[in-house]
Amino acid sequence: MPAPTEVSGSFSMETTQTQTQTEAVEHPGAIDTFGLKTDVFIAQLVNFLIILFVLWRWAYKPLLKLMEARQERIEKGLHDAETVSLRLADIEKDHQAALSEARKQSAEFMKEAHAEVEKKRDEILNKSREEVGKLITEARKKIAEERSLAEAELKREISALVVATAEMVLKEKLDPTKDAQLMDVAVKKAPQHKK
Amino acid sequence: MSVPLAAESIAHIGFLTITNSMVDAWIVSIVIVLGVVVLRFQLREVPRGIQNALEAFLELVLKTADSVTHDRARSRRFLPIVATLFLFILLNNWIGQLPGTGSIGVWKEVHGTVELVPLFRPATSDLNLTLALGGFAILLTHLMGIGTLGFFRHAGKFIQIKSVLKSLRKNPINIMTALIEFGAGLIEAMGEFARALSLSLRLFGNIFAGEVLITVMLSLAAYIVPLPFQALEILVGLIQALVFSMLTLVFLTLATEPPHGEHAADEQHA
Repeated sequence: MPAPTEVSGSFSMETTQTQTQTEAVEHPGAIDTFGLKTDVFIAQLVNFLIILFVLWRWAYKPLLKLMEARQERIEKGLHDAETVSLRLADIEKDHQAALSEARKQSAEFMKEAHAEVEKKRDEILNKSREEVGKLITEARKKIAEERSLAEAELKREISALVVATAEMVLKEKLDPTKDAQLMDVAVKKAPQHKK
Repeated sequence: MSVPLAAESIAHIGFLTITNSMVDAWIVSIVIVLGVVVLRFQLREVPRGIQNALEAFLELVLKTADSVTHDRARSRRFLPIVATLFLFILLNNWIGQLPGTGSIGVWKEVHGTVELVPLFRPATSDLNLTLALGGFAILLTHLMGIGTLGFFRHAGKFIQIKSVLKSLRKNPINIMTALIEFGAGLIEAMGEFARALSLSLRLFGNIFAGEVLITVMLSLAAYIVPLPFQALEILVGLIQALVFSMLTLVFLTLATEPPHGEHAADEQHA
């Protein structure tokens, strides 16, 4: 405090010379020369400590936390992306394998189905042919039967007709036995005539 | 025109003297606190503005600290101290380049004559602040050393009684070496004070010299001429902030390292 003008360290040319002289007399010491004062020293220290605390508590701490969390997240994201792409490749491979398997199976299936259809068609065709053949033969048989029946009927009717005609021609009825004989003869002769 | 070595007091509040360097320190503090407040309100997952800048800064400090400590955990522990020292010193160094420093003042009677006492003076050009910072930094290195190594192991680096006692059972040459080591330990203890003093005096000297230089240049020619020197002062301010915080970082690292027989040679600083 009690430093005079010259020794308080005015930084000018003239003081440097006188300083050495007055220093010897007054002994101002470095503390006064530099203006060191306990209260200023403490005030500056406290000021810095406050700044240190404020920055540490409200700037560094949350920021570092945030930065670390972000770093972790980015790393995790990259890692995840990698695994996902690996998984995707796997899935793609599986997918392709499944697809080709399915194709193969479906082709096989198709082939089988084709064969079966062919077989079934042949079967049905054969069966229908058989049936048709059977039907035809049956129909033939029936036709033949009917014809023979019709022939027999015709024969009878013709013979009756012949008898009637003969009766009419003869105008006289023969005895039934003669009549029958005559009819038989006529019938036997009739088809021969026809042929 | 002159810049006194000591910061001038401009007012008294009770017992507290208020010097112009304290005003500048407060301005810097307010700027920092405002920055933190703004940061708090815009803190978000995707950084922007101040947050982005500060994150980049912290990342840089962490990386630099890693190159010294080789240990992320320790780097993280030292980060608040080193980063705050750097920011606080840097802003205090640079604030002196703003116009008004040294020219805005109050007319006061000083030692009989009426002088213009500047209202603003960069706090780092006042030994009170630099000594406070240097002393605090060195004190912290010892607290950290005690915190990590324990009191006796840390104190054992400076007062090496153990090796002396051990050597007593051996031959005289061993006793001699132990005594020399004991002396070296004491010198190192003295060196701790020298560290604090050199830290504070270096910063003070550089910034104060810068202030004087700019004042002299301004008195020679008010226009253009001081500009290159001011540019230089901006560089000096950055370098000194860097030197102070880097040395603190190195001291912190050394203090938290276990004593391995021979102590690593102290970083001699420019």
